[in-house]
Amino acid sequence: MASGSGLSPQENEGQLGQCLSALRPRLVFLLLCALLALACASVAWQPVGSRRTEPVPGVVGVGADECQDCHEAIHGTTGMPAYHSDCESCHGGGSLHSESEAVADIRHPDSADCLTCHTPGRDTHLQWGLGGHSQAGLICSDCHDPHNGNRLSLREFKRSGFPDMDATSQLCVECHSDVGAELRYPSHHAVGEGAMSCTSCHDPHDDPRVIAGGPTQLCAGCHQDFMGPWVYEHAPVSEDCGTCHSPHGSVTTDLLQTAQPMLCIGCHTLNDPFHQSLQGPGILTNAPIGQDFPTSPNQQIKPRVPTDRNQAGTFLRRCTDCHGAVHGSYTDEHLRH
Amino acid sequence: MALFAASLAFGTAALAEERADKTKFQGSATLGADFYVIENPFDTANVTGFFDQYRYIRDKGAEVPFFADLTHLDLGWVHPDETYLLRLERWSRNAINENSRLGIRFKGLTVDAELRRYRSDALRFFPLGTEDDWAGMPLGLGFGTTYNPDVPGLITGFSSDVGAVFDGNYRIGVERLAFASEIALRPEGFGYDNKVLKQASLRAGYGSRTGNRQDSFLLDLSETLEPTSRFRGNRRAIDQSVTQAGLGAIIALAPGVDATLDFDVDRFRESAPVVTLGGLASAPGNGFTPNPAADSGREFFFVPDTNRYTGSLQVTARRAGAVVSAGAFGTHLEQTGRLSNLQAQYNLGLNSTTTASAHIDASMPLEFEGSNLELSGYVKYLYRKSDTDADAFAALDPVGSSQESPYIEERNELRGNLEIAARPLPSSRIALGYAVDWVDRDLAYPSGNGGIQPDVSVIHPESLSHRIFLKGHARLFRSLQIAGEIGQLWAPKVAYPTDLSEATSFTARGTYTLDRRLVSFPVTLALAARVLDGKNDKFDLPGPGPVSNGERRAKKFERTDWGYDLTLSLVPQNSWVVYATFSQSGDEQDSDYVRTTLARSAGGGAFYVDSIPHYESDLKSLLVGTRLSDLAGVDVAVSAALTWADMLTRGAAGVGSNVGELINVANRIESRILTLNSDADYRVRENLGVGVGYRFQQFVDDAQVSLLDLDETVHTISLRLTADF
Repeated sequence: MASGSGLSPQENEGQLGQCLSALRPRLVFLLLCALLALACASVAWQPVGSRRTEPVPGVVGVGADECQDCHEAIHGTTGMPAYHSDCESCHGGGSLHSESEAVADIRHPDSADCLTCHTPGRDTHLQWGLGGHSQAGLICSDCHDPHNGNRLSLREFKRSGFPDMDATSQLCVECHSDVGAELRYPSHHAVGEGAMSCTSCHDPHDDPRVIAGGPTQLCAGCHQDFMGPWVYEHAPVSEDCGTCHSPHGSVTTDLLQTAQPMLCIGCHTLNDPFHQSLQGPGILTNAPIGQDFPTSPNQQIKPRVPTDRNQAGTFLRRCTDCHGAVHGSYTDEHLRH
Repeated sequence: MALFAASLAFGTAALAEERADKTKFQGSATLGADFYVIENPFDTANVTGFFDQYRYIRDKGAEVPFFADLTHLDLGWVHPDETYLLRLERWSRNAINENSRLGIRFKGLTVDAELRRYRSDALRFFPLGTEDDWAGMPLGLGFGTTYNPDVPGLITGFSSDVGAVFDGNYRIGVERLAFASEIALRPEGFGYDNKVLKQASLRAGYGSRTGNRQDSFLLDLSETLEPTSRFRGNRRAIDQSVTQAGLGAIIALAPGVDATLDFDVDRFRESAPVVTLGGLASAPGNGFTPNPAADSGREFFFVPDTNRYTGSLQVTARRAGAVVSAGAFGTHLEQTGRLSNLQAQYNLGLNSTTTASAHIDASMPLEFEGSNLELSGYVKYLYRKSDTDADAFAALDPVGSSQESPYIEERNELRGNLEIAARPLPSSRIALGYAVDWVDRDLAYPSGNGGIQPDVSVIHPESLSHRIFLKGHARLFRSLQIAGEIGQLWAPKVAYPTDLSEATSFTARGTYTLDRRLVSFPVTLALAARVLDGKNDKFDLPGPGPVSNGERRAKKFERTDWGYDLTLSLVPQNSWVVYATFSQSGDEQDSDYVRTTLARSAGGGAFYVDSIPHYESDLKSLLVGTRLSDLAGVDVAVSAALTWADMLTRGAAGVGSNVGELINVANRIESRILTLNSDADYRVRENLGVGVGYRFQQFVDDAQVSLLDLDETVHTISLRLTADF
């Protein structure tokens, strides 16, 4: 937990309250977990697994017409791939299921079944099996419904609360509801507005850890003007755009993960001659700071008073009000214009 | 465009052939109109409201602003087996927010094209800002955090300038156009069973960004004007274009071994005129002289024209449950064409950056008797080189202080992980893993006067972190799925003060469907949570006291980033869904704010911790909604979303200066965004439908000063007419 480090006991007044405040969300979470566990315990144990992906022994084919007698709605859908009309090529023989109608008597295709037809040349999901989705146990049919005629046979969810969002992203935020919330933050990429899609940046079939060139190359695809090459380059441009930006959404402007100036002073020190008006003209013309300045090592710094204009000159503005060329510059080593 | 035209021609020929094969044409078109009611003061085309950032409304000042278009169009030629031969679909959501997709599937030919247009505007005042003489503080002129009107003469005072800005047409926005197309051929589809080449494709694209952006800047003046007057803004025109071309191939190297090859070229150009400080100073009414005079030729945000060449190769092999994927990638970004004024003046060369990466990623079962184990992992190496003309550092700054910060000339990065997993139950997996992240930077420190040296740099050349984790997922009951990960990171070496030297992370997700014996319809509860809690106490800086003392202390940083969300979904009937999601996330940071008595480029003098500001953001979002299908022939969808955004800073009690509180004065955020969407659609006849909708949007800012009251309410009434044919 983040708490002001280096505080003496006398200075820690109120820290307990802050700790409790910081813990509150986690307490809520733990409480919800407990409720969930209680709910689980309140019902009887049931057999594991709701979908059978292994073959059903002893079945024989009965033909798609037999299936259609019950599953009428599946057939005749515009856009449904023609080869998906042959039910038993994916589900195996339906002889047992057609008699019993039990879910356990018909096979649910696994991702490996899909990949036998969706080979390179038809689809290029070369990294499937390595990324987070596949390792989390998802299979193709968690996102795709091979029976419908939607674009990419995507399952249809319209529960995002974003009427303008594209169908693919609607599907994504069905599980990634935290990202759905971020897309409502004051600053966000315009996914909810339909101007772009989750798949504009993410390929759900791939392993994002080995993305070609790294995440910054993704950003460069649309934001090449921020990539330079610069004469004076801000280091995060060569490291990772995510050092400063939170791409789904943020509390402040420009998708910054932390509002200025906290974002900047997290790394940067500020010098007194310019930012504090101690020895030079500085940002505001003021009297020297005098007694607030430490004159020897380990000296306690005295608290300032609220009317200290020296700091105000720096912190009542945003850092980028002056250092506007924050990604890089051809003009100024301080990344000003 | 030529490629697109060619593919269209090819597609038309294919259609002509297929028409004889009894294809049918079908389509659907929705004619829609939105009528807006915008509350004062944003009911004028001159002023950007909060919602204009993401939804452009033409002619906001009209009596009844409206938008009318074919909001959805879906046209297709369909095979007798109901699959599409050609499909053209277009969505138009509001003014300058549309996308269109074209797809052609004919034997082994695939054509895909997409066109997008979108406009976003920029708010110039957000967050808080201060009024003149704020709260009794003798500030004199106020501080808008983006207070930079580029209007001649408007440097008189914050209060008067804000009013003038709201009265004039100073909107800042960017309109984006993006077109991408790909034509792919599969020999197999035309009856040629090529054993090696499975697919070949050509890509082409074009994108543009036009409009303007706001540059803020500090005039390099002596202190002759009021201090606030030195902070100015420039509404910079942008006229950027990107032309793209590429080709790709999919190759079968052996049974179960496939490869993709891709190569792309991106050509970026900025055509807007360059604004110089001299040009801005001489504009009527601006009334200042660049100081020193040599600064006259400085451009505001010179954007280099660039070409980008990108190539990649990926090979994947699948065998007996094992997947191994390896890849290589390279991209070269080079400046081309026009030079900046100072580049030309000092006869400097063009700049470039080169990035290359290679990886291997694998997952394979471990075949022991009775075991159900799996080994997976990856290793990735990345190299980046910045090839800036070294002479630039000495020459570009006319004042002569040359480059200040160390420059990352080369960057070598090695990342990887290894995890061993077991599947103790069907539909379950538990894995124990280790990950490493090592980066080595070749930092070029400026020589001579005015350069930051290693001892006082806030970038260190090497970072190294290790992480162990335990993760898994399971379907414990028919109705319960859980997943989670807990990890511990430690970093012996950190490169930046905000890198974490120690961190604990935790993520969890659970989905529970209530038993049908308890409720007669599906009720699903989903819970997800994440916490990252870490600190950095390994980043040393000199001090306290003069550097010569040789003492060093850590610039400390602590962070807790957390969030959770809870979703409830009910399906009382097949045609009725009710859903609700509550999400909360927070970010808490404590960061040593370090001051120096001299600029670090001059050695830094004494380093000392001024204070430990505490930063805290808290975002909550509640979404509730329902969808009803065929309620007396009417489809109804209603949803409401409320987002609370709070951010504050404060100082650690009794420690250091009041910087934490001071930051809060101008930067605090406390706002609410409320959106209500409701739509009802009725099918009048089988092929004719009508719809009506109402959208309520409200932004309430509880922190903004009264001068910059951004509270905004927009009502939208929608009418739709849909015809199927």
